[in-house]
Amino acid sequence: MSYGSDLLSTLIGFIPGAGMLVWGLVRALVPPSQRALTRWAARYGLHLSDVNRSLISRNLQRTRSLQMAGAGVGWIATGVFVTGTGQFVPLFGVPLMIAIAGYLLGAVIAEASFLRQLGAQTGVRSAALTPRGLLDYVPRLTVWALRGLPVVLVVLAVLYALVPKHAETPSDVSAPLVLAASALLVAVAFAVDRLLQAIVARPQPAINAELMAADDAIRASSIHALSGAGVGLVLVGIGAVLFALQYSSTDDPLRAWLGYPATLAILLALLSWIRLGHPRTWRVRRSGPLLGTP
Amino acid sequence: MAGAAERPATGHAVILRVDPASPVPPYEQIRSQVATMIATGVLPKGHRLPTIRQLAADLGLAGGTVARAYRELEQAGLIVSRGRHGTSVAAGNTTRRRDRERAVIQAASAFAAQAAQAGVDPRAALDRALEAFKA
Repeated sequence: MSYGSDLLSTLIGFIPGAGMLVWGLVRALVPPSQRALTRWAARYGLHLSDVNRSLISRNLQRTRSLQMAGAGVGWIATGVFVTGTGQFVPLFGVPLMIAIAGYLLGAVIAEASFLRQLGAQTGVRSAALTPRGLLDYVPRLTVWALRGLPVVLVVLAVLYALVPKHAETPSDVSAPLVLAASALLVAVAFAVDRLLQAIVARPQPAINAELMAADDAIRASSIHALSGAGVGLVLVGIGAVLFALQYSSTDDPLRAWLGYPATLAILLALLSWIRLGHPRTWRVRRSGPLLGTP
Repeated sequence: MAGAAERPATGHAVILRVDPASPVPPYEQIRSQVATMIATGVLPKGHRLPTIRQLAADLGLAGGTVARAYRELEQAGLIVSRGRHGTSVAAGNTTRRRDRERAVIQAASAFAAQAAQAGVDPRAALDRALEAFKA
């Protein structure tokens, strides 16, 4: 490898990750601005008040910093691996995959730390007589994607293991590696699905309407972040396997054509991570104002 | 009885309250509140109720406690469980609006009498009542 390509690899391996890490640390130190709070609340149809403002601010500061720092560490990890070991990372999109995985881990840690803040109810206990479901917080398409895309990934990985490989392809990826990586991504998608169900089932004391609405918004925000990252991770996997299929295929038309869906999958992964995880139009579908004693 | 919240038609949430310190068992508190809400029309026919697991988690109670309340409500024909489709209100509102208003007036009279007997200033008593609405 030439000095120029070494430098380029180092830059790609470290600079975006370092940027994300610094951004995450800044977010950890600086509370979100009033404008950011208002914009976040508007996305979830939440009315900010003196009762819920500090809760939202603290949650936003913690989750955003952990998610971004996680993504940064994930991205840098690939660069450290490549620079430290000198080994080539075979699957295209690995830095993005590890970055999304880091973001996902940050989101899980933020969720766990939020759970620790919730104390058990003391005295008179209260609850809303309204059922909660995953579809109250996230579009049906997201749930379908999280459950359907792993099937597509497995099919592609098996296909990769079965099809004859091009003899002259220098970056041929071993079939067991593709199968193992795909199995891992399927396991992550399954774990994310279970985690989403657990977040929906998390106790919601009905102390007052504003805190309930804030809790619903925070719940929706966590679900969006986790599902967006989960879907993104599987899409990167699909893109990587498609690229591997392209490079190793013996069929020339297929080699020419497979790059398009592979690129599309990577772009959709980015879109899912950034937009599906932070929708601008999807609001919580269940909460409403509280009424007096019947 | 305390309660408040969300009706599908109006976007209001119905709140259930359970006092663990009360001599009334928690399952009976749940049963009687839900029965009253159905009778007074706060919970209309077809209104979906939370799952046993969700309500138990939200109230910090054992699942069996909520399950018993639901079972007794189902036996009384007030709610119906449809497996995966969840539990919903079976009976419609059987009380006329005028009767419901009369019940509220009677409850207000009893509240006023109790406040007077306790020597609580009417304005302070009203403040407490308003706080209860907001809680």
